[in-house]
Amino acid sequence: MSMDDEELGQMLRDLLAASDPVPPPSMQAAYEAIGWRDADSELALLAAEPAAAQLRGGQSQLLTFSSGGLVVDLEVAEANDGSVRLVGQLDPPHAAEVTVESAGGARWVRADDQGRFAADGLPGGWTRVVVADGATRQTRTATEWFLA
Amino acid sequence: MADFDPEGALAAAARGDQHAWESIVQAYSGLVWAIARGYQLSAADAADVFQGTWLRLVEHLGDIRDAARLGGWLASVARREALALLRQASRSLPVDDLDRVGGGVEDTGAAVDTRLLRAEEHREVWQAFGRLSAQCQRLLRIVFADPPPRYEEISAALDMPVGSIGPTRARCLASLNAQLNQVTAE
Repeated sequence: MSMDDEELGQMLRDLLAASDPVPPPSMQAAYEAIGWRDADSELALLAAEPAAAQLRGGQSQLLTFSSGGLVVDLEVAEANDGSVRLVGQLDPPHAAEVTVESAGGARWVRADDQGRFAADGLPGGWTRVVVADGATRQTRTATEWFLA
Repeated sequence: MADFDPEGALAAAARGDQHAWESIVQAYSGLVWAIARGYQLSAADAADVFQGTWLRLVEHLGDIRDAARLGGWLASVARREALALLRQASRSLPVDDLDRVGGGVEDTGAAVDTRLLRAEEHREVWQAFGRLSAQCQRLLRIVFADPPPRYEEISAALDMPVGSIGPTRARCLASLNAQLNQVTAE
C-alpha cells in the first residue's frame, strides 16, 4: 500500500481525531477555566526554576513568585495519603488573608504577622495562591498557576 | 474555523463572555492536545498540560496585544508546559504509551465502524506511525491536528523555523510511507 502525501495526511488526520481526541472531561474543564479570570489581582510570576527538595522522606518543591512589591515563597509537599500540603512565607512579612485555589475549590487561611501560612489536605493539580493584604484589602496578588 | 475571529473572541472573553471563551477553546483545542500528546506524555499528564495552557490564557487574557498570534502563543505555552512535565522524569512515560493509544483504534466503536472499509488501512497506518522517530510522530501529530494549524503555530509548537516545517513534514511522510510498505508486506 502506497499513498501520496495528501491521502496519507488526510488518513492520519482522521486517525488521530478518532483514536486520540481531547477527552470530554478535559474539554469541559477548559470551558470552565474562564471562571478563574481574576482581572483585579496583580499577577506574581514564578521567579526561578522550581527547586526539588527532599524533605522528611517525601518529595517537595520550592517555588518563588514575585510581583512588584511582594514575594511569595511556597513549599509544596505531597503527604502520605496523596494530598498536598502547602507552606508559605510572604516577603515583606505581614498578616494577610490567603486563598488557595484549585480545581477542588478554594481554601481560606490566614498568614500571621510574620507572613507565614500553611494549608494541608489539598487535592493537588493546578493550584494558585491569592494574597489579600490584611490592612487595606485593596491590593490583591495572585500567583501564577502551578502544578501541586 | 473560517468564521472564528480571534480578536473579537479575545476581547469578549476578557470581559467574561463564556460563549466567546468556548469558541477560543474549540478553535485551538486540537492543536494544544496534539502538542501535549506529541511530547509523548501520558493521558493524565497531557490533560494537565491541556488545562494548564487554558489557565495561562485566562491569566493573560487582558495582555495579548496581537490576536492574530493567539494560536502561536498557545502553542508556545503548551510546549513549555509539556517540557516542564517531561523534566520531572518520574512523571514521563515510555514511548510505548503510543501502542496503548493505537490499540484503541481496533476496539473503538462507532467512530471506526462508519469507516469499516478503511479500518484495516487505518490499523496499518497507525502501526507504521508507531515505528517513526519521536520527532516525526510529534511533527505529524501537530501538523495534522484538527482543525489544521497554521505554520506559525506549528513553528511555535515545535520551536522550529517556519522554513524547516515543509521539508521535515515531507521527510516524515516519506518515512511513514516506507514503514507502511513494510507493514503491509509483513
